[in-house]
Amino acid sequence: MIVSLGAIGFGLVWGWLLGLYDVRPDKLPATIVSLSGASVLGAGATAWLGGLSAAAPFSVAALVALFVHSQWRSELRKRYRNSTNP
Amino acid sequence: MLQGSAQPAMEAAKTIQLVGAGAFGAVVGWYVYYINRWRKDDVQLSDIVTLLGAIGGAAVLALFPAKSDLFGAYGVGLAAGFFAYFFILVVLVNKAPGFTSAWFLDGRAPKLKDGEINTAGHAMAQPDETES
Repeated sequence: MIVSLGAIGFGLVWGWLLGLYDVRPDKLPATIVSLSGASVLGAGATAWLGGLSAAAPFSVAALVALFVHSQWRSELRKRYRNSTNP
Repeated sequence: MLQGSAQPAMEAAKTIQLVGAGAFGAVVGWYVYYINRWRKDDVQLSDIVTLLGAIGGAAVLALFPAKSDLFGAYGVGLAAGFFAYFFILVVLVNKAPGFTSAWFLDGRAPKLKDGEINTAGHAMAQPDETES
């Protein structure tokens, strides 16, 4: 149980960090391959450290954190696109 | 009798170990966000991979055996420290006069007033003020 919670913790942090990465359109394929590869590495490391059953919570948590962070940053970009410094 | 009295001591040791692993993870998680916050340039892929090494690298493996509860407690603490920093930052940015959530996008900050200088996050003071 604790191992699964730990895997979720790792996944949340990893997904949130991935959400920081702004993908440039000209480097889209290379970036996706690199980030996906790094994520597979992370899932593999978690499976090795926490057992095979820990890879699933890690992956789901990473995807959730990545989605939430990306959506939040997208909302902020929409809201502050044309605003100037107060 | 002896076995019965020894058992609670082992339980206590295990609990304190879990708390210690979680606290260690919290410190690492707090510091991971701190490093991310104070980075100079845009996020690079190498930054993220380096952080992955810091989060689950050899040093962590040496401390916490694989597939153990200690590793799990470290992961829970890591997320707790990381997101505690983030939530405290959200509160402080929203309470600080002149700052908005746009700070999280590009570090947007209010214009400096007269007599203020930007010293990359350190204490601000005009050099002239200290010289007399």
